[in-house]
Amino acid sequence: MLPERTVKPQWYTDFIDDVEAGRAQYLACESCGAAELPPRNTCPECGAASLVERPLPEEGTVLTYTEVQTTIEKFAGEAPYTVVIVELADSLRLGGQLRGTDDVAIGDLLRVGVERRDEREDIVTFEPA
Amino acid sequence: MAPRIAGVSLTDFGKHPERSSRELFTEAAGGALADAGVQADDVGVVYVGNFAGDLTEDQGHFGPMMADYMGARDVAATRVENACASGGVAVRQAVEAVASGMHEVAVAGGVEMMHNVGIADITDALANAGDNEYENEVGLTFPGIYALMARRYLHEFDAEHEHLAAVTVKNRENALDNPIAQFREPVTVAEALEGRPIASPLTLYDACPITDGAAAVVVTSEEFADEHGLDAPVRVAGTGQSSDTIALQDRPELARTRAAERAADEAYEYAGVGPGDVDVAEVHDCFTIAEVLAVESLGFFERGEGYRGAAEGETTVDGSIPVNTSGGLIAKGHPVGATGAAQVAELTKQLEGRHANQVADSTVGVAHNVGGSGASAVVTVLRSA
Repeated sequence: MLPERTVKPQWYTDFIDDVEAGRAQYLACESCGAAELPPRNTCPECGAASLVERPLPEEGTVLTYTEVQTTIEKFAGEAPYTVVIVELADSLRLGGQLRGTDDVAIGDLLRVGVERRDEREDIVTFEPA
Repeated sequence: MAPRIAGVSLTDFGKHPERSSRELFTEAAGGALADAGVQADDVGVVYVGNFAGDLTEDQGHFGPMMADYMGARDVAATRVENACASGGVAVRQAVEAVASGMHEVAVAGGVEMMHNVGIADITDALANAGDNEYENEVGLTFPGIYALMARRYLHEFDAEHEHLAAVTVKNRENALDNPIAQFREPVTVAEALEGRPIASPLTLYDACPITDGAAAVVVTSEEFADEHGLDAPVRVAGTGQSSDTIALQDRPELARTRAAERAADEAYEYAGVGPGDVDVAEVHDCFTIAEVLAVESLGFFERGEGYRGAAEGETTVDGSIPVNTSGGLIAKGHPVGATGAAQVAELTKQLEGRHANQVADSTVGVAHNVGGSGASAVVTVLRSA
């Protein structure tokens, strides 16, 4: 198997830091109005290079979720855990691990955050708003 | 001037950790050439579908390696990687190579070794088909991603988990007579629903197994088939391929595979047929929900109605549109890089009237092969007569 990366992409490190600090941005297309997550410089909907940063909404509703039982090495010993996809705005969705409750349903309002984990990957989380 | 499928072959699908990709691919390619009555000398180009050889065998550069071992050392040979759609895209590359007039004879296939590493490692390798930062970093596995799609489908439409389980029951039943299938024991809806949970709402029975295996097909021009007197009645009438976002979260509808819809539209238009003309289909049922989405993408059922296919018997061997008469990925097995080629091989047998689960009077077959959670999709329309 290939080794773990020793350096993470900077955009991702920045994204995690910004979510934690409450200053994360998404990319809005000035031509067609599409909303995208970083790192992009071209709108995938209309092809325009007119993406501008806008504050990422911090709360949204659950679109779907799953309790993962069989997992990968990175999360060994942590299963079961629940992953949700949350709609933060029209056409802007983000996945993360559920925290602060064991009980979740489609339509629930959750708030985005970050969990810093010693010796393990930092992860995007969602907890009840 | 549609390219012909002159020969096909599949290795045994199952648990063969002591074997290797070079042996499995050689067996499949040699079998396909023998089935076609074509010599390795006549092959002009080789396409090899493979997803995770770098991780499971510490081996890349599969194109020339497989060409060499199958007896075609000096031909153009390329590895094709589109995750679980690698094999189907390899076949499409061969069709393009022959249809363009560039080559007269192409071998396309795929191979995957998966049981030679541990379950955590192969789960990790398969997760590479998703978006590393936005999916894997939050703990999503492939069962997890399809579970998210299944949960959303069950929420949006009038379907229950037992409708998904009916896919497993049907495909297990179909595999009983397939000599190369990995699972050749029947299962009931109740057993499937009570299976070990892997990612809610899915259980182990909603998932295809981990599989070692290979498949290959020989694609020739019509002229080559005629000049050499090949018995090759099946032609590639149409092909389509499309892409979508790699991350599920970037799609406006989570319980829908739009790349597969676009690939199907393109393949049908190319072939001059529609969903109603199809007699038999092999679709990408890596999970039960995937078959439901597949039969909707192919136009056999309206969106939100695909769950009725297996549950109401319409997709059984004697139903109105038989789906996965081979047992599909769920029962035949899913050696990732080989699957798309295996589908074309099984369909060719159907259209030649030599399949273990023969569908009477079948002349039009469709193969639907998906990579990741739907970021790659390739659809192939085959026709006999």
